[in-house]
Amino acid sequence: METLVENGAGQLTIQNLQPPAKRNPTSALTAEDKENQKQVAEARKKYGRGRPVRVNEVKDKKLRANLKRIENKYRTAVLNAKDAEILYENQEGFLQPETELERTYKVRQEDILDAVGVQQASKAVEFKLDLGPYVSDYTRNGRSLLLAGRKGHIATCEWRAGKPGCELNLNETIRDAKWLHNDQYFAVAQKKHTYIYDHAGVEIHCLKKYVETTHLEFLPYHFLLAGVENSGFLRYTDTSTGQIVAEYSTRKGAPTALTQNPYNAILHVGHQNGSVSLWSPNSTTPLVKMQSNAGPVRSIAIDRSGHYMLCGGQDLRLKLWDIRALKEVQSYRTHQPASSIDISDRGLAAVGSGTGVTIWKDLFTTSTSADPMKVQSPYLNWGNDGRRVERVRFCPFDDILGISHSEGFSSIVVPGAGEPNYDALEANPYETRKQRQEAEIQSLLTKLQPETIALDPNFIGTLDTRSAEQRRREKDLDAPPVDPLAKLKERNRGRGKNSTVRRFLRKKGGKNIVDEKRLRLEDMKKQRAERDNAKLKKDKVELGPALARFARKGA
Amino acid sequence: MPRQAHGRPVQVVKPKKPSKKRASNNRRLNALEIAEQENPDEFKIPQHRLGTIDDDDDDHPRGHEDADDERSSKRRKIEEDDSAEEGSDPDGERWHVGVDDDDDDSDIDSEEAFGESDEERFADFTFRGSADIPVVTKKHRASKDLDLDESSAEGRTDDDEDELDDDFGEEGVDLATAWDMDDEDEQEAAKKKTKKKQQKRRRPGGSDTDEDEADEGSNPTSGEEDISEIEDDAESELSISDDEGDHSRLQNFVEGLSNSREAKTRRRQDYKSLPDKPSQFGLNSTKISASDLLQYIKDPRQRQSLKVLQNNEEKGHEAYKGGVPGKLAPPLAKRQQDRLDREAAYEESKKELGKWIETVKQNRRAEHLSFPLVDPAAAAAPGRKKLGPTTQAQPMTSLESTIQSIMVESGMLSKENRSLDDQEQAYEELQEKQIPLEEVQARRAELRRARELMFREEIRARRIKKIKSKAYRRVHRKEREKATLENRTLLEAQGMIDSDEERERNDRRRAEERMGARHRESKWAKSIKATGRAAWDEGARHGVTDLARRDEELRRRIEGKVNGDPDESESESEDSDQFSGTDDEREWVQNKLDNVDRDEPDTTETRLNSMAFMKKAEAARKAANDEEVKSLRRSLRDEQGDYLEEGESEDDEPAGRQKFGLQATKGEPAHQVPIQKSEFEERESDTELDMVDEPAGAQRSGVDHAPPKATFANNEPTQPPRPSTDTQAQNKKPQLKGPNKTTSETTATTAPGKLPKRGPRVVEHELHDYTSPSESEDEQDTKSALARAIFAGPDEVEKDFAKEKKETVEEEGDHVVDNSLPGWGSWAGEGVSKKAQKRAKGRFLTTIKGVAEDKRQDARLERVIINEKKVKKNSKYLASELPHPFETRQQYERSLRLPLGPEWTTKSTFQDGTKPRVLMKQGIIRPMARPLV
Repeated sequence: METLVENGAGQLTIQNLQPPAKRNPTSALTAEDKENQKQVAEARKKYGRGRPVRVNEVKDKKLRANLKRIENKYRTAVLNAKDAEILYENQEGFLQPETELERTYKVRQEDILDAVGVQQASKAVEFKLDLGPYVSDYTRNGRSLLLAGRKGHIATCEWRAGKPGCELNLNETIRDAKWLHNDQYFAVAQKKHTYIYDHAGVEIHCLKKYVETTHLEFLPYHFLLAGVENSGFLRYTDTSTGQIVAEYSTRKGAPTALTQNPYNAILHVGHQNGSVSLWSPNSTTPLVKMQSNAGPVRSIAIDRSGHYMLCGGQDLRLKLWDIRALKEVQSYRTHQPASSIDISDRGLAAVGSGTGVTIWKDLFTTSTSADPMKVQSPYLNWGNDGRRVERVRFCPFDDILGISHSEGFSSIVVPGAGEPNYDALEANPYETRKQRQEAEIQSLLTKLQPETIALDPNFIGTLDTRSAEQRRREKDLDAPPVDPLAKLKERNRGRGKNSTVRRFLRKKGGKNIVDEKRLRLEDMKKQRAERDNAKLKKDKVELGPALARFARKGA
Repeated sequence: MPRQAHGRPVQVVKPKKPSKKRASNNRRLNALEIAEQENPDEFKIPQHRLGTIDDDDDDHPRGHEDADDERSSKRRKIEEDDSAEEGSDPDGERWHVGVDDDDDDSDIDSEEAFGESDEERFADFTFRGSADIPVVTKKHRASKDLDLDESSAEGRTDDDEDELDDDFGEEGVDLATAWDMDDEDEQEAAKKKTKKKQQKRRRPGGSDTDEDEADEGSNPTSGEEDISEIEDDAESELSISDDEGDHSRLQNFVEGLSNSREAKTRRRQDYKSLPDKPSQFGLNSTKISASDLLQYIKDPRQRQSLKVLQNNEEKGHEAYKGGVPGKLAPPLAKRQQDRLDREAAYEESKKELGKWIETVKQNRRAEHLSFPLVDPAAAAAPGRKKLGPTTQAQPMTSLESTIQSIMVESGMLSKENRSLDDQEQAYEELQEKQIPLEEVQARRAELRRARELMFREEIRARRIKKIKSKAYRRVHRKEREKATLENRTLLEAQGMIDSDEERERNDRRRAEERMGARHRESKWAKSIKATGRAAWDEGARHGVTDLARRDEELRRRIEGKVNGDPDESESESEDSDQFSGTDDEREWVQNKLDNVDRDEPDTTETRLNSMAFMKKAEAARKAANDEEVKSLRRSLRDEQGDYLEEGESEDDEPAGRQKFGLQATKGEPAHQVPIQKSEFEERESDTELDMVDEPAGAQRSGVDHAPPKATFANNEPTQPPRPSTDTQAQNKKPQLKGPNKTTSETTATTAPGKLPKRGPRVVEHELHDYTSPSESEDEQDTKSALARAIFAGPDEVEKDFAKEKKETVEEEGDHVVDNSLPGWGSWAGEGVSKKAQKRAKGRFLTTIKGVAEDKRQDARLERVIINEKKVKKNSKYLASELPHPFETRQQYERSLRLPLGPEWTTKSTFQDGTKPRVLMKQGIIRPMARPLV
């Protein structure tokens, strides 16, 4: 055993330290093996799903074989995924400084537009609108754009094609607007209630429960429209059924920011006291509370993988959190509170503060390395010409950043922002009408229930680790016992002798066991027969002597 | 008495087989047998008792009738065992014991028993006879005995009597006729001997008798031979006597006269009795052997049965102990036969089905099965991934055929579609197979020798090649020298080479260093590394660090003059002459101070340090240290104040590049407008843009600052905000704030339009004591000041949050519930003393376990509260218990991790994952024709 001994000088020495156990020398790997191992390790790093189970320790032979098979499947799946990368025909490309002295943030939009192709350059558009600061939203496939001015102006368009969708003036304050699952519907948080409009701008629904909603968020896989109100209430509505799924009070006053974690559909709500709370529709209390900023949280953004959160506050701080470990990684300073933050698919972060927008690269990649270091300079810059930035949103699958500001909407080209390879099954930027319809059906069929939302989305199917005692405690003792016969309603069927009761008697009645259940069943059967007979008699009387023969039992 | 002796030898020779066969063959006699077995007393003992008498008289006729062969063969066996049997014979008791002991004997039916006992007697006689001619004497005596027996026999049949009469008649044969007969016999025997020999070959190896005995006619095949058997005896005697001479021959004959006579009588008996008494199956004496029949019969079935018969005959009588020799046993009862058939069939089918076991197992274990099944042998032939060699098959496509033709033309392929290598190998193999081993070895040895010689020759050639003439060397050397000289002059002209003495000095120094230093590759260093002694041995550790230091130093020296890192110790910083002394020192001191500050919380974290006395000591030391630090900082601040007034030079750090821009940076503040810009915006500020337009030198200077600062900034953020230090940080604040504040203030005031790179440095400070960001250079920033004024301040926020966290911890922690009801188990109401009330209060306490504070997920996260309550709605999707085959949770959960949907995996993975276990192609699926494995 090792012992700590203090010597005369007050120093501690470890005694009886056992020498490290010698390991058996491993045989040298062949070059091919090494190559394979390397390949697998690389693939695992990117596509791996957790650590493999130690198959050799499994005692049961059959189980061992099965687990081995599963492990092999993982391996091949990972390798296949890695191999399939060859199919990614497009690559993202960033602005690269040619020399050390060159700075990418000094490149102006005009220079970029000159350099890029005509098609791409035409995507940088500028809408001059004068109904107040605008908010914008892109659909999930980046095809349609929704603009909503504070003073009640709403406009939609397919911005690439330049095709206008609808335009309406509500003459009412608009706080937020959001597309639903596709470009057919959008929700608008208006002065009092929240409304849902269709693509033509026809109001199709009014969410009366949503009073003075300030922020809206839509969870596409769950078809949940979430909104936080000025009162601090957070509500979830299932847009496929129209039901309100959950309503919770955040108890922190008027919320200042709302965003969703695309990884696990958890909502992050920013509060006045600088804290961020994480909500799911399944818990009345927040799952996590984080004290992020010293002042009110102005905007929150979460990267696609759900690993990092950027949180800009009124205290001129921009905090980078690792939301897996729930630790703050970095703290940056902004010279004005970050009014809007967005993170692109490729990990560029756009921070709109004041009248300018700065776009940052490698904020997350550098912080993953062993010694997280600060990014010293932004990637791109925009603005500072007197237009207060209201919202920045990256367009999915394109190198475009949409900036809505006090004077309308501008989209700028940000090289390397968009995901170059899209999955058409997931979100297709070029989808046809038919494909859109199909996708809608498909997504409705595969809709996830709100109960599946949790911090760890992989919890489904895992083992319940509660102790038996805890389970007993949590079991609802007041719940009424389940009556197996309650569901034996009469089916509305035209003919046939197979009534539900008879069927139940036959299948589950128990042949020769006369118990209470059986008696009840018999009773039910008798009653039904009587009722049928009575009805028959009545029918006969009604029909009269001539037609009585047509009266039929159970008809 | 002979019974036992008789029974034994039979068993000794064929210990198991006869009994077994008997068991199976004698089934037809089951009823009798069973009856005998059940009450052996009634039948057997009296029978055997009588046996001595009855045996004999019953025996003879029988022996003559049908058991001649049997007897002879038995006699043979007895002979083999006679030495063992000799002494025991006369014992009456023994006889008894034998019967009782021997189960087999009891099994034997009466007929059999008689036969055996009869022969036993012969054996007996044999043993007492002379050893020289055992056979003859034996027979002689046996015949005598036989005669006696016959004469004394009581229960004789009429036939027997007739035979006896005949015997008597025969006895009267005169010598001449006897001779004649013998001659005849001899001729006959000569003919038959050949036959017998042939048959002997066919005979099973079990009979290991000598020549005489073989001659004695153990051959049981036919009746003819039976008849001739005794004559053979005589003949053999004669043959012996032939060797010895006429006299002895005669003597022998006379001696064996009675014997031969006896044999003749027997033969007569045979002749007479056999036609008179046809056997059970209607076979008369002229028996046809199975082998005779065999050649005429073509039907395989019949042949089969005949073969069986033949085998039985060859085996001798052992096969038919109880029955008639050479005859087929009657068929078994159908039930028994069927049972046997079934047993045999079962064995067969088991064997047959066993072949399928592996296949079935494999198919059961297979992940997927697709019917119709593919024969693996056929399917696995060509590798899927690699191209098969073109030589294997005939060319399929035109391309292949052209390739092949080209190969053939170029001689890489023979016409027979085999590569030359293959052919060669095949040829060699063939050769080697034919050649004897020694030759092959010799050849190999020769080959080896040749190879060895070649190798040596090669080495020699190489050596010789190296030997060059003096002239050659000289010429080359001169050339080389010339080249180096030229090179040197060239370099010298460019001033790239140090003077000679300097170089020499350098070399010397390096050498000394190298000698002095314990080298990294030294044995000592390696041993230290291997044993890990440095971990606990202080001396070793010192050595190691010393070594590392020296190594570093040495390397730097070897490289030449390189400036040291700012982090390096003072002594090294002295070397780097690029530092301005004050700059460097101040910076270094500041760094050190910061490090000291940062390091302090670390020390408190160890367990030992958390003990009371350590804490006390630590606190005292810390106080002293703080005092020191404070004073240091103060002095430093004063210095810095002066220094910062000088301008930008503070940030000039030793860099690998030359600097030009001192004047420019100095000039900067003059024309810079004091715009407050945060870190995020600084760069594209107007001033900076202006800077771009500025002369190159100035700009470069601006940029040049960046790298060292970046590194400086890097050092700081590596320390993530440490929540645990929070309280300490707060305690420390008064001390630390001063210097920090002042520095930032001064920088802000002196360089309002500071270059953007200065930012990080300040940020680092802020990051370090996160809670006081507003004390940074931004203090003058009106906005941040406003922000500070508006917001309650980080301390308040933190405090609130801590309070909230504490509440949640308490709420989710253990709860104690007092279940005691007043009045239950104690007195209640008025007048109860406080003491009693108190006692009654805590009697029924139950604690509901919650999450302990240190077990919480956020136990170490100062600024995070994680809800520890179970989300009930989620538990709907949890598995309530571990599903059957899995042993641990990890295994189960691992098995779920691979998503099945097409969205998450590649198509092939998806298809693999969702492939049904059994796939069937349309159409008729035939069962497997043969096992696949």
